Amino acid sequence: MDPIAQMRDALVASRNADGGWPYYAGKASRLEPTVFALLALREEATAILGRWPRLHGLFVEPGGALNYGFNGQAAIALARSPESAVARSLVPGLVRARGLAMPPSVINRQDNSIQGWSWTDGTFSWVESTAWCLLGLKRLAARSSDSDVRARFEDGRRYFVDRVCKEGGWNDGNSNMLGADLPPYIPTTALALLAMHDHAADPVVQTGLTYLGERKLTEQGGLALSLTRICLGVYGEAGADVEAAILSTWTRTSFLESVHVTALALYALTASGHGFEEFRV
Amino acid sequence: MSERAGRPLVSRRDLLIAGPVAALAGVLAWRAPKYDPARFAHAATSDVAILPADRYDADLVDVIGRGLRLLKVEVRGKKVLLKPNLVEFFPDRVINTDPAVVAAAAEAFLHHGARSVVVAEGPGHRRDTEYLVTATGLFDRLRELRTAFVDLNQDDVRRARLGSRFMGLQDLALPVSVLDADLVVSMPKLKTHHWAGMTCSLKNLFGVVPGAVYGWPKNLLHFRGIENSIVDLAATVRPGLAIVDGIVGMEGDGPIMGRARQVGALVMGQDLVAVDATCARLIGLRPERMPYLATAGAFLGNLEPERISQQGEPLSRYATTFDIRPGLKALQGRS
Repeated sequence: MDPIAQMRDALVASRNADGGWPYYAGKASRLEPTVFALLALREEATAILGRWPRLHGLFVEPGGALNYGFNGQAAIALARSPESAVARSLVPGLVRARGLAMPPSVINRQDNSIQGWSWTDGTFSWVESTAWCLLGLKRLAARSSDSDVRARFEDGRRYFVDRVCKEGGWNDGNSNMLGADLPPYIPTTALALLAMHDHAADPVVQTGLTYLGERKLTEQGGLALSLTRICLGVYGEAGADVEAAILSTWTRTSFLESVHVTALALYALTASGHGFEEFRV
Repeated sequence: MSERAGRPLVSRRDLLIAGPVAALAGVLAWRAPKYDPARFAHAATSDVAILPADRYDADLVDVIGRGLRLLKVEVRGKKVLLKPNLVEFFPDRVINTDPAVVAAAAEAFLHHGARSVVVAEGPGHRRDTEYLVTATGLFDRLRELRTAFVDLNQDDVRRARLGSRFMGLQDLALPVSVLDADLVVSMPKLKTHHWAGMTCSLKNLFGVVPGAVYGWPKNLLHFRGIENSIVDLAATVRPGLAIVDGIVGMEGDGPIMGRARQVGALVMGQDLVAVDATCARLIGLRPERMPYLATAGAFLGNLEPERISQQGEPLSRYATTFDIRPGLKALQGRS
């Protein structure tokens, strides 16, 4: 069977009766796999996310946990209907959410006053959570003239400029620790580049793109490869080799049966036809 | 969530009322006992086995089986969850519990009658768990054994009341695979750690905290204090066994950027405090000087050498001194 059809079938089969998707078939519906599956299947998100539990406009996980990064992902899925009530109520929450500002650091060279986005309340800003939230906010409110929204766009830009690794690209957050430069990772670099697409001429974007182009096949995992494919597609770069690597990884590991990786891979393999529009800012 | 922009979620009146109430609650929480000693009663002495294993292609199934018998570990009929340390992958560094040790443990537990064995980890650095599992070689070993891997970052979760309260929290969302296992086995790599001094079977429990709830990295644990988090997780998960990969350890700027250092042994025990204390002594650190071990030794298990019954090889056969970050030299010495 065609691998793309296999992925689609696996995704459809793993859907829960509540309309959402779990991380692994048979488990409880969670926000991240649901958002990726909606994107992959090009389904309208407002119906399902409109029923999702929320707190102050932000989506919460089963048990009430609030994860800002996943709310950024939800914003991407909702951007097809930016005027829907559920999409509009998400914007103020994403604007208010931010990582803690910290005193100047003695263990690494970075500006701890810059507040990107944290994963959870009361913690520091990280590259992935910042990228998802910045990208989601830009998708929902790119043309907003609201000064608070514009200020958060600038916070995000400053965060990525400050945290870029010496060789280009981004680690999880810190670019150095105790005097040692930390290496960039593929998924975080791809995500940061997606969130910074509207600053394509910025030197940190250019070095990040160079890094990603040179290392795009070095992390042979469905998540890293799929984010890479989407990122290269948004920047207009060729991605046939990355698509081949996604297919070969699927054949070998089935992405460890992970629903959210299967969904993202399916999106990465099928969205070039419409220019990966959901990830464009 | 901070309220530096937008409308505050609470009014000034709310704050005037809530402030003193929160302060009083904080004082009461600070004064409240951090744990109930009755829940952590343990034997006066703990067996810890040091087993020779100088290569990863040795018969590690036999070595671990010998350890299980020596320690009289009851395995039959149990759902066993093996929790290796899978953090990061650089081909030139020995960061993770070697897949050969993990696979050997899975085989040994099945030989000893375990009902089921799964390998489970929730990496705190790398988001792409599949990449880590395949790049390290663990995927191929588990496939040969038809053993399942559970990504603890994305498992279903349940709120679990914490066994102790050093972090100042009442509960955490934890993976159901961990909470429902009959026997959790902590399987760390023996490494120095640039904040805690050493990472071993107790610190390895950071990996049970689900990233899909708390993020990558699991920054809540850092904000609540690494030492506090280690102790609360150990008091909550209560692993029944530790198997430490000390065949090749890591010294220097661990747990990721350090250098390989041959030790040549697996260390096993059912009291994780005693196992970690033994491992600290093996690498030239004084366990009582590491805050998390000193705290754990006060109620979770045995720390003092006279309370640890050494099985297998004598500690002196493998005792060495791992290089450690300059700021942590005060931890070094013999106890």
